[in-house]
Amino acid sequence: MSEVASGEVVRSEAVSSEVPAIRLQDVGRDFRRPRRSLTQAPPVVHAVRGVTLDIERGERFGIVGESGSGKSTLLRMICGLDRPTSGSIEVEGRPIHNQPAARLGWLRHTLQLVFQDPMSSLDPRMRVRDIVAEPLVAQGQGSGAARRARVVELLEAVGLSADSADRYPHQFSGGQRQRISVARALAPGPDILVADEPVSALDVSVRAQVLNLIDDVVDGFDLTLVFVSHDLSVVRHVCDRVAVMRQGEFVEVAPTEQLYADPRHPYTQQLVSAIPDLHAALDGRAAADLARAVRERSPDA
Amino acid sequence: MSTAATGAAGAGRRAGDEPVLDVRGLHVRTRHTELLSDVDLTIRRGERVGLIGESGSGKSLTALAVLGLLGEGLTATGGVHLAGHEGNLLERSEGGLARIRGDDMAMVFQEPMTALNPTMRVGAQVAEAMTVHGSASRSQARRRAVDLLDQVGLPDPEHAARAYPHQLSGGQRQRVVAAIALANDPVLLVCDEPTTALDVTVQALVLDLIVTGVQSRDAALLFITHDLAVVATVCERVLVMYGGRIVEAGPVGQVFTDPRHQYTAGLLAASDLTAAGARRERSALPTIPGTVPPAGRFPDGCVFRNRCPAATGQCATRPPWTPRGDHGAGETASGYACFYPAGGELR
Amino acid sequence: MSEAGSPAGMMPSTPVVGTGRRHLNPSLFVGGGLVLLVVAMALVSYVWTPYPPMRVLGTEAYQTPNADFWLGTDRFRRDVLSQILVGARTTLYVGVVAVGVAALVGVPLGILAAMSGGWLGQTVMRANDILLAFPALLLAIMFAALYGGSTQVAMIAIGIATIPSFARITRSGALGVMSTDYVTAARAAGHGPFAIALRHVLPNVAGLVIVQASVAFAIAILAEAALAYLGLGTPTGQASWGRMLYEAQSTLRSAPHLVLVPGAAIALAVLGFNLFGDGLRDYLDPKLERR
Repeated sequence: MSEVASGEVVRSEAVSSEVPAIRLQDVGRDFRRPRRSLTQAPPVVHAVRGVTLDIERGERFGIVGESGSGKSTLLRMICGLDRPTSGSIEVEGRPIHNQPAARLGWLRHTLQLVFQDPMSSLDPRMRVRDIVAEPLVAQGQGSGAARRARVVELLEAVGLSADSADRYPHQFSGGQRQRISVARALAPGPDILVADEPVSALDVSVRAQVLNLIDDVVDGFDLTLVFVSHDLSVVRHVCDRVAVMRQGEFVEVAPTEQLYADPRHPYTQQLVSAIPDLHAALDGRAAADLARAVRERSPDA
Repeated sequence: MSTAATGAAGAGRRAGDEPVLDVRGLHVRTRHTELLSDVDLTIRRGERVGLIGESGSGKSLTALAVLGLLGEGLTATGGVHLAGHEGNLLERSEGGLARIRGDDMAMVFQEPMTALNPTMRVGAQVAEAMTVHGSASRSQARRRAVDLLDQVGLPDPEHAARAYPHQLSGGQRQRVVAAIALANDPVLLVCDEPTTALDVTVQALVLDLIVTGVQSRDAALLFITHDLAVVATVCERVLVMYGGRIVEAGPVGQVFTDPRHQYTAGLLAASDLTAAGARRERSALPTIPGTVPPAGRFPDGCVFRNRCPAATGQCATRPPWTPRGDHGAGETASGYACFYPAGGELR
Repeated sequence: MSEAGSPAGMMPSTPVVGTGRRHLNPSLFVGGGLVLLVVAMALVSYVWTPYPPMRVLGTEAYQTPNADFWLGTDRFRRDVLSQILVGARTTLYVGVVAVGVAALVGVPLGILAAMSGGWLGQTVMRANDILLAFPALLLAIMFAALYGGSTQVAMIAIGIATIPSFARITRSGALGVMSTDYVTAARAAGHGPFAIALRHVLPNVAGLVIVQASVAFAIAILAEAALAYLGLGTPTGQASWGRMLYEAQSTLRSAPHLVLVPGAAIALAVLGFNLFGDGLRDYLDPKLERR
């Protein structure tokens, strides 16, 4: 736990002896657009700029942003699928930003992912047993029989019957496919679960089931949760703390209830006031009111 | 019938108006399975009606059937009548329907990118909507197109008219689609998940634009979505669809605070993430068990009975429609089809 | 989980559709039948032909089909049926080798181009484009001029000329697969590029490759026939359906059956391989199953 190395910034508030689950320091990621002209340098897009953040162990952390806010890029870097152009990323105290993929084996059973689209997140040509066992196979964990037993155990943990193992993804509904996705993520016994819009593509009646499932596994397996969504009401339900992202930057990071009750940044205010809400609508908030709030609180105004 | 849910009500609305859209006993089926069953639906002038349901409920199919845009292999029976047009629209030829579509009835789709022609400037596409129906000459149409783009809130409409769809953002494209739909002052506007692909802030603006556009034309709106909060924000009346049937209907305030059908009650409970304390106490969200069956696999009788906590043997027969209150648009406008209605206890 | 107590048992654990069994679709059935027929003809020719196929027989030329010569005789007084049977060997040989060369080189190149991106992917695809600029037939003629006309040279030339189409179609399919979340999941699970190519990319582009192979097979058969017809492929003295067409062209009017018989054989084989490819793709797709 002697990770004093990268610390020019010593945090006064975090006296806790524990290393945070995820530590981001001044993380930036630039993308080079394709060249448009022979003489001029290609334009550069700053997808993520100067993000600094600690996510504590056991925390449920939400990242909210609209399309193009850079939240997906940030997520890929946290998962070691992309590297930052500046800054550092540590997972459980170990740097991942400067490591080649071949040396990130440990990260693959520390941190796992659940995706948005239940159609494209499972290989249509694989049986469920092979999908769920994939992280085990990749890391050479266990014998064939041990893996089979583990798959059944995992399927039952996410509320699917053992005979699901022999089927193909297309035989399941969207909600069931998200369960399979969760089972796969749990397979290597991770400490951190990263969920990228896991309920955005689901029907309302199924959404509640999957949110409950995520709740259950985060509690039951003692996980740290990073939950990314464009839907503030879902994040509000799931997370302890929320970061609002816009144009590659965190504009506000606050405990969930505080962020909703008293948003500080104009963009957060705009976002919070733009969400259609059933109760507010029944109390008479019409589309015109939402639109007015969005116009008045525009952070660019 | 005051609905409380909406701000400015349509100005010149008279009771007992001829309905703008009148759908009676609409069935849609493939060769083997029935996808829509006995759908009744009436929308009066200036009325905004929401149609909610999950994927596979048949809500989009209803819209396509009304517009005569059903795909190959699907047949519709029943009656679809539009104000100002004689006879049953289901019996019209494709040519006859094409003259009405984009003129007296228009549609806004979910995906604005595919609804626009990528090789044509957007101004020309708006203008074309008018010249096709002969409602304006070429030069008039060009001028009106710029006006319309201004009306739907595109900044610098002169310049925007010369842009191609890919040069606009998703929200701007959806505004262009709305401009095309409103170009000929339709009496009926059908919107199918028009803001599902958009960001929250953009959604608020587009919803406002749709409501304003419909109100200023005193047109009828059929608004299809899976999002209960959006329906409550936009519409006065709501129809709840499940398994190809309308299971409950009524004013938004009534259906969403005091639902009768078990499905509506379950849906409301499952979607209410902001219920006080839900987050802090980490109590599990109420859920509807199981998943929406694929088309053609819904049970006989009540379509919801295999997921319903209140179902009994009686539900194997189809529950009759129970009218509720006395709605101006007829008894199908408000009521439910359930043997064991929820007692109005949403928490 | 919280969904206990559902009366009619639509529990989330029950998959909603399908049985997972696959069925023999009509394309696979008819196409497979025609392919089997060609294979059977080739096999039979090793143990039995009515007459030695290339021998000049002591009988009349230009006979129409009759009891002694089921498909007639040609102008050299040879038995047509025997030539057709032996010609099936040439046809299969050409198809298998040409498609094999093209697929074995083209598919890995396509996957490499899709997965590596950057300069390597660009280089592979540009080289591919250059090769694509040569029509298959022209390449075959060049090869024939350099190495002499033979069946082997013809089919290797056809195979090389077909590489770009395999590389191209594999690359486009692989790019689609690489953008899916299940590939991201595999990376997050710790799989390297080679494992991802084998586990995810290859199985998911297999359908495209199979259809391309069946088309290429048909093209190879036609190209062999065309080369033989031009006198550049299978040399005189060896049976080939294309060569039979070539030799019959001058007697198209007087003895049409000499054109019709090999022509029909080629057409049926081409049709058979196309149908077989389509059917096999559907058969291997777990989404298209018996309902």
